[in-house]
Amino acid sequence: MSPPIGTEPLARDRTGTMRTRLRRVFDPDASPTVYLIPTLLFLILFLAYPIAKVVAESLYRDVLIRPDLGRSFIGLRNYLDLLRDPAVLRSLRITVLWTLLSVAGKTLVGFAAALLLQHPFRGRRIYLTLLMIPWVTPVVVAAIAWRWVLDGQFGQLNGLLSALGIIHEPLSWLGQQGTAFLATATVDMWVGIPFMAMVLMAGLQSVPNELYEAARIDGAGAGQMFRLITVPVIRPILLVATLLSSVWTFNSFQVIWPLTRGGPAGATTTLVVRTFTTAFGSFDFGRAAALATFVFALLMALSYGYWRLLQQEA
Amino acid sequence: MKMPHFRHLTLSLFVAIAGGLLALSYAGAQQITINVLYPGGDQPGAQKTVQALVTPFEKAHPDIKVAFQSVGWDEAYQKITTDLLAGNAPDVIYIGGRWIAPFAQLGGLLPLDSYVGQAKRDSFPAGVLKGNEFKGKLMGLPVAFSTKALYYRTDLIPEPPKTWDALLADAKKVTQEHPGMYGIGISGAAHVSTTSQFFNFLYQAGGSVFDDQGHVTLDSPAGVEALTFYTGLYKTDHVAPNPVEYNREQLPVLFKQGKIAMMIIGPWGKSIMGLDPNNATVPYATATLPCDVRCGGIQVGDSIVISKNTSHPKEAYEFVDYWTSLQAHTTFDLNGGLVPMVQGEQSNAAFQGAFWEPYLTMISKGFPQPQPLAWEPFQTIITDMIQNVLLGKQTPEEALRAATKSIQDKQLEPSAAGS
Repeated sequence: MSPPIGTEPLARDRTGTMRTRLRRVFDPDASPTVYLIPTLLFLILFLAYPIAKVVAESLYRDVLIRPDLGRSFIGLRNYLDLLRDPAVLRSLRITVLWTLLSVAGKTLVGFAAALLLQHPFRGRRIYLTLLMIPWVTPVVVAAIAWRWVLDGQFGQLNGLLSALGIIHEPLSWLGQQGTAFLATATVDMWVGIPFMAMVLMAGLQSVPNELYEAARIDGAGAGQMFRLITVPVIRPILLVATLLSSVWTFNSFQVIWPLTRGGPAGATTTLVVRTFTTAFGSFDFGRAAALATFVFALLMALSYGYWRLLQQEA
Repeated sequence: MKMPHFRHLTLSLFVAIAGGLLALSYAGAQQITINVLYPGGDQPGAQKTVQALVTPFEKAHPDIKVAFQSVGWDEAYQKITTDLLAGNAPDVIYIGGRWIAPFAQLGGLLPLDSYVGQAKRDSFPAGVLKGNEFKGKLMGLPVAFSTKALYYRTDLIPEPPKTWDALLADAKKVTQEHPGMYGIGISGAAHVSTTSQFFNFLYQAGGSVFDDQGHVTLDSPAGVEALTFYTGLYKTDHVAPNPVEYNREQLPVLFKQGKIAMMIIGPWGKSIMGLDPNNATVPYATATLPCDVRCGGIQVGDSIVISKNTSHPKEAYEFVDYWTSLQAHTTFDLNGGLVPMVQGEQSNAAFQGAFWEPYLTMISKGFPQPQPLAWEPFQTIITDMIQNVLLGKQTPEEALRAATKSIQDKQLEPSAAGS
């Protein structure tokens, strides 16, 4: 028996509209939000929430091993103390200089390696494999190995320099402030060069050959082609690579700690090392949280600056 | 007729199995497990030490099982602090004696006064036991103890130096006469042993870190004299390799390789080198530490403590009591290369002889380790102080003044407890 007049067609229209609405909700093109919800939840739970907790903790005086001092809200006092602490300001200077030195070294050597390895030649695969060794070695293992290479009495570096007649007395590489600073930065460069080389090699592959051919026809030399074609074309890739490298180097801990523990006399105590010793040496979580938030804010500012630069490039 | 018989058999079997399982679980429930955290226990030599403790104890106490856990010494402080804060620390914990105060301050330790009788108290050297007290309560028992002695090359130094001046003279002579070798090795790395090494000289100069009221007394004429002499061995006298790279436990390697002719270290120096004193390559002997206005050396101890949140305090103390008994402790000291501490140990034949004599003599000339409210930041202040002078960044006077101020600013003085 057919349905009453006017009912069945109306119900069909309502069902059809509902189906269309549902389809639209789950259509990735029309409304991608639904598919982003799991990722957003993950980011909120494992990123936003911990960061918010650390920022909140930075507003408290909270020394876990001194329950007699209590936990009290002190507002921005931890930040004011940090900015007035000569040791923290010194760590900031050390961190900036150390990062600049290491990233500059990684970029220059990585770029040179990329230029040398971009074209096929005999034995290229062997050199590529050797280049990857620092990258695949666990950083802590590499740092411990370098600790013995740099040892003042038994180190292979002193042995080599002595055998070549360059030094006559063993040098205490990790026992002097200046050499410890340079040595740790060099080890960090050694670890990070492969990444730079690989990224820049990929970038060099993207430079159209036609540009070089046209330049050669116009009589351009190798230097001119490098300066006027290669560098401008891979500039965005270079910017991204140096940004990533800068952030990782600024946060580097696993190179410095096994080598020097931040010494001698604080010469390699970067902000991250100071945050670690404040949190897990003094258990002063309020102050450590303020240091961590300070580093976070600095790196966000750096990343924003890079992003603006990239926007301008685009 | 078969079916009912089968059902009856099945039921009986089920009851028998269930009853057996119940009996087993009941028996298992009667056996209590004590968890013991022993830093460095995963090292090859330490395994022998652990077995020598656990096997006889479990045999004598069949209702108690002992489960050892290990962590590296470098990570021990962070792990124990975190466990105590979280309330899930092991029942018994082996700690550095320097951590008694901070862990007690944290409220993580069970006071042992009601467990430890007078006879037990009397079995330990008074000064060593005192180091395990916090605000008048006994928070742990000393379990490892060391005094320090001077190791010296007998083929290069005929008689051990008795004074600072003689020490310096001998070190200069060796350095001048043997190119490539230094007269003495000292510690200057950011390590706990650097504080011990320096405090020996501070004490010998008549100084101290804290007074009896718990106020810092580092900045004193004796402190200046000690820091000047200690750092001068490298800076001005050039008789020591750059100490900033080395902690005390690395000095035996330098000694064995013929890089240094003297060092100050506990009995384990011999174990690290793996050489008996009368060996052919680097013959050595031990001697009491040289004196300045005082003779003496720091006595550093490790302690065993019971966590306040243990569910088995009685059983935990039974193990602690056993560990510090004469027989068990003698074996422990022999395995670990430690100085005999418990009353009656010293008469054991294994601790007799020329090698041990200076260590036993130093027991009566010792002074306890300082007890700041938090050791790690205190250690950083002291090692930074020493390194700043070694590297020429500060004079001894400036460094001592800055260190004193830091200790006060960070409220690390024992007098600041509860303030």
